[in-house]
Amino acid sequence: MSSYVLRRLLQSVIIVVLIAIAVFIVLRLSAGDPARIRAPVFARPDVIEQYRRDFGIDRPLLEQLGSFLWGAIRGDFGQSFRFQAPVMQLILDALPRTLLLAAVSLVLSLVVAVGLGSLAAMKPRSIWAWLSSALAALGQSAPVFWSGAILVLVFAVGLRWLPSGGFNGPSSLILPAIAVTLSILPTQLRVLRASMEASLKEEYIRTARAFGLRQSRITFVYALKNASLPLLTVIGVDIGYLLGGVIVAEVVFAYPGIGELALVALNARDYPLIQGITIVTASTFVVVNLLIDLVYGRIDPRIRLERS
Amino acid sequence: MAPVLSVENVSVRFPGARGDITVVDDVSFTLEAGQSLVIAGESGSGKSMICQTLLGIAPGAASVTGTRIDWKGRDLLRLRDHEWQAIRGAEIAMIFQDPTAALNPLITVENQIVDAIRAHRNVSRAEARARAIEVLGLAGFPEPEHRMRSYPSELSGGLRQRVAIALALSCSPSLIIADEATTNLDVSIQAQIVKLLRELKDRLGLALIFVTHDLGLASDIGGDLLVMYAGCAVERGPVNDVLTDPTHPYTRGLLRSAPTLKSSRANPLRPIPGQMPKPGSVGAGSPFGSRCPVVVDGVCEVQRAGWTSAGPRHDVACHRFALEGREGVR
Repeated sequence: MSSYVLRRLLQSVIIVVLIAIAVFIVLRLSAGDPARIRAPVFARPDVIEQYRRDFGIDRPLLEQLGSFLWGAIRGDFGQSFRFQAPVMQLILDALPRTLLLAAVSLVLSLVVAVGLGSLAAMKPRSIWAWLSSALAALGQSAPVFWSGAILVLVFAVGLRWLPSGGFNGPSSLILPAIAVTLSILPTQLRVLRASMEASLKEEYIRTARAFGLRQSRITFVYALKNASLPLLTVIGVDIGYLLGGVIVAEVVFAYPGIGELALVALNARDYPLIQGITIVTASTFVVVNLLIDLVYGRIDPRIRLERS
Repeated sequence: MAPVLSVENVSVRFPGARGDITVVDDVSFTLEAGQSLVIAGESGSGKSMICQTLLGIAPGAASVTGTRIDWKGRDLLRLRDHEWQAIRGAEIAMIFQDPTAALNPLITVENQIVDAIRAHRNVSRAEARARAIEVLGLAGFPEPEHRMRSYPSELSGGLRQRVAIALALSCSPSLIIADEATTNLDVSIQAQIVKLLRELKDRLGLALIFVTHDLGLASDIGGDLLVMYAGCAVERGPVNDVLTDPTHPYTRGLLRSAPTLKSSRANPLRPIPGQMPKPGSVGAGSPFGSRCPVVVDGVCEVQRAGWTSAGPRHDVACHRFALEGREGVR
């Protein structure tokens, strides 16, 4: 492992710790008392006080922060106020479903972005170029709650082909995946098409052509390799969005993932659960972006040279 | 001996706002197997465009017309895509001007050569790799087994051009086109590369088209010389005959404006006054007419000169020469 990777890892740890502290403070500053939300509406003050003690939020703030950080380091985010279960357990239940949705959407989006974007770049006056612009415009202008609702309306309510929500096998993945794909596709498609257009104009493409390489190899290896670097940056941002931000899609489709869990936790002012979700998604985001930076170096030797 | 390549009356035009712009104007030449041809001219003379035409890689907007480009009995002007693909790299290979831009920065030297080989030969990776080592060796690339795993950015400019040469040699073509292949190199490296190309031509029996703006390099390559100006061929003949007895006023001007060891205050450089006409602005007359010191009034403006013999296999397209011979262009 190079000193570059170690340096970046250390940076990542610092970032995650700062995020943990920030989310702790922001939660305490925000309105709403978890004990009051948890307790019955007209509960006596001593009942509410009892909840406060149970939750441990009657202790001094610094002490709470200390025990939260100490627990987090050991992977223990405490007990959820709302579910009365270990936060880690709740996250581990929901995370795989979100990861599955994220992975399917990301792969789907990448396939379309690379395929359609490359075709559009190669043949700027073809139907593919038109389709690519149309899809990008549609995805960009249609928010997930709208496209999700339309998808449910057409394919679940109207045609009755697919379930409208929940999580029962692969078929319940299709509609949410399409909705999420539609929201991350536009940027990927635009970025790939533009970088592909630039890449195809490079002299090394003319060289590849002059040596009789097949067009498919020229496009999908010689040009795509160079065009993939900007796309990689977009993927990094998308993964962050997919891990934390598919909340809307998960809510629209009642999909039991991290996003839905986060929404419930927020409504209940479930400090430990919110903190746990934030730290897990933030860590994943930081790690993924570190990995993407390392992949950059693998693809482009010139970046590797600069770092050493 | 029958020529391996025979270019007959080829023109290349681009669509412009006010009619077509002609960048190569009715150019013809022939090349025999194992021989070399130097195409010399300034930037914009159309010499690179001719080369790209020979590989069918002229930009998409270009329209290439002509009687015929005969390559081993086939007409390159009338090839389908898959027929081109079989010729590119395998029969005719090109070395580009700038090896930094011409090689893919994200693919190793090894893989670029292996890809070129496997585009034409049905061989295993290991065989292609062995061939890559062989051609890199031929191109004077040091320690090919190890260093071919490098990326182009990890090599010097001279080494990159050797990679480009190895790439050109990879499928044993019978013609190599070097398009300003030494222009971006230091002078010392330039001399090495020219020497290497000449040796490879003799050793492997390649035909070579060497495109340059530097007439000094022409004599190092040898063979025939075709001088181009503003898209037109103006003089052709064996390199030494043309250089020792330049006949076209442009060739003469070009030689006088190049520095030599004999340049001195008594014998100063004499640049050609004026500028090359913009592409498309040459009318029906002589392309060099506007700058020519010996222009024939009333003739050069309206009519292009045909070829006149200036010696054995040495021709010139000049009205003044046709009218008055050598004395007229002095």
